[in-house]
Amino acid sequence: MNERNQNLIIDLIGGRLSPDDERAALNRIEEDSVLRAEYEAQMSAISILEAVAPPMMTADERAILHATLRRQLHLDDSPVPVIAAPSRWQRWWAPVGGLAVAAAVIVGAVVVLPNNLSGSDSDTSFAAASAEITTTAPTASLTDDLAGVAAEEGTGENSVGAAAPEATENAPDEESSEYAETQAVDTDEATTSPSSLPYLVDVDLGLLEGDLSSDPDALRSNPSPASSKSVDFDAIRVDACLNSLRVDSQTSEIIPIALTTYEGTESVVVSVAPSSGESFLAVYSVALCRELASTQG
Amino acid sequence: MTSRSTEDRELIRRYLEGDVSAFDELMHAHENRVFAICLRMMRDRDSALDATQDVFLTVFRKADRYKEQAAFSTWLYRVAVNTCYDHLRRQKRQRTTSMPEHLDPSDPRGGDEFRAVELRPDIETALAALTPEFRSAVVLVDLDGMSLEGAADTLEVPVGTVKSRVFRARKQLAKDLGNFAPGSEHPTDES
Repeated sequence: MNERNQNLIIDLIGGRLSPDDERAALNRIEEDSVLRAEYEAQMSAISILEAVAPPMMTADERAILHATLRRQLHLDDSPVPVIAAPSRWQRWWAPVGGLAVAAAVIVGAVVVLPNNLSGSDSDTSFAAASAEITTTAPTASLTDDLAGVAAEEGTGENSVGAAAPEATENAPDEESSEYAETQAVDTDEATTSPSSLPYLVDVDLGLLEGDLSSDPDALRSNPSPASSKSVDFDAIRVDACLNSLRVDSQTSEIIPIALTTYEGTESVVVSVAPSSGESFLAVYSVALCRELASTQG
Repeated sequence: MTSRSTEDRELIRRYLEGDVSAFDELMHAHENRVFAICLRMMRDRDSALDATQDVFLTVFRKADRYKEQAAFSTWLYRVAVNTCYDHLRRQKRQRTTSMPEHLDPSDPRGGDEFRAVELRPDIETALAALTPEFRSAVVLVDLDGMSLEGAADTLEVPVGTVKSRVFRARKQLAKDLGNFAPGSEHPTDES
């Protein structure tokens, strides 16, 4: 069957011919047995397919679909379970957490010990320091979100550090503020909490990609891009966004790099490592988990 | 521009402004059609639901990019077909790597694809034998009722290509359905 005859039959069936052309086509089909066989085959397939009723979702399927989408798109305020991050996250950030805890202990010792030796208000200071290292001062929404997860996680606490300086504002007492300025990180949650990510004041993805490709530890070894600026990222939403990106990109590895405010939008910078092809950086808004920028293409 | 297209544009605008009810209205308008395409492509209800979910996630997350599109539905169904292609490729990889060697991974009867699919088994078998490209063309044109131009936009191929795919798909279906007409107990080679 040549292309001309094929198009003739398709156009005839689709009602795309003028009345004259249609008549001429039908005459040709009537006279040509090959054309007639092809035409009849087309019509028989169409008549069978036309008799098929369109499938519908059941009410249960629709409800599940809507609920899942609403959760993934953060359209509801329902709690989203915190899922442990994959191993590469741990490989990247566990050392940072460990170093930060060690730094906090050293700073704590330097500050607390002289107080102890001088016989000043040591008990209060030490208690405040301990609380600062192991507890968080979450925002109200975060507390609400975590309430449903707390029992499962065994803790309702989150980490503190440069990326979550709101802890400073909610410290137990004034004496603890000096400790809040240190890089204290929750020892239990350091590898899974987005608040252990550095906060970048200004992101130039191209430059950042260059820095990271020449030195994967760039953000660790050079803390200058990280800011002590007060940011109030919802850790649950960051986690939910990262998890949904991982679900969407099953063939790519999603590695969180940093938090930032991109064009006025709270965002997370991730490295996307496809199973084939080159890795690239992308910025996603935390609220809608929508891609805002990328070094790809 | 049809009223549906105008309405969709407005709903997308409202969604981007944070109006959650726009999400419900868009879902209500398009979910069944997207699900129908996915079910015809994936041939399995659970897989079709997974694909449908991914389609809407992609569309809502990238809703701001829709501005440049002529018709929301064209973009939506393009995402649907491409998502189904991705899922089919993934399924094929998983079957190839995980199924025992003595089972033919391409044999649709080897899995549970027949489960709850609302097609006559012979039609299902015939559709399953088509390549994804032929299947998507015939699903859009003959099962979804889309115009050749609409299918061409959705599939991002020229109209001539859609014509060719639809023609060859129908011919293959007619041949297979003739071979496997109801009452035929032992279908011959389906490949």
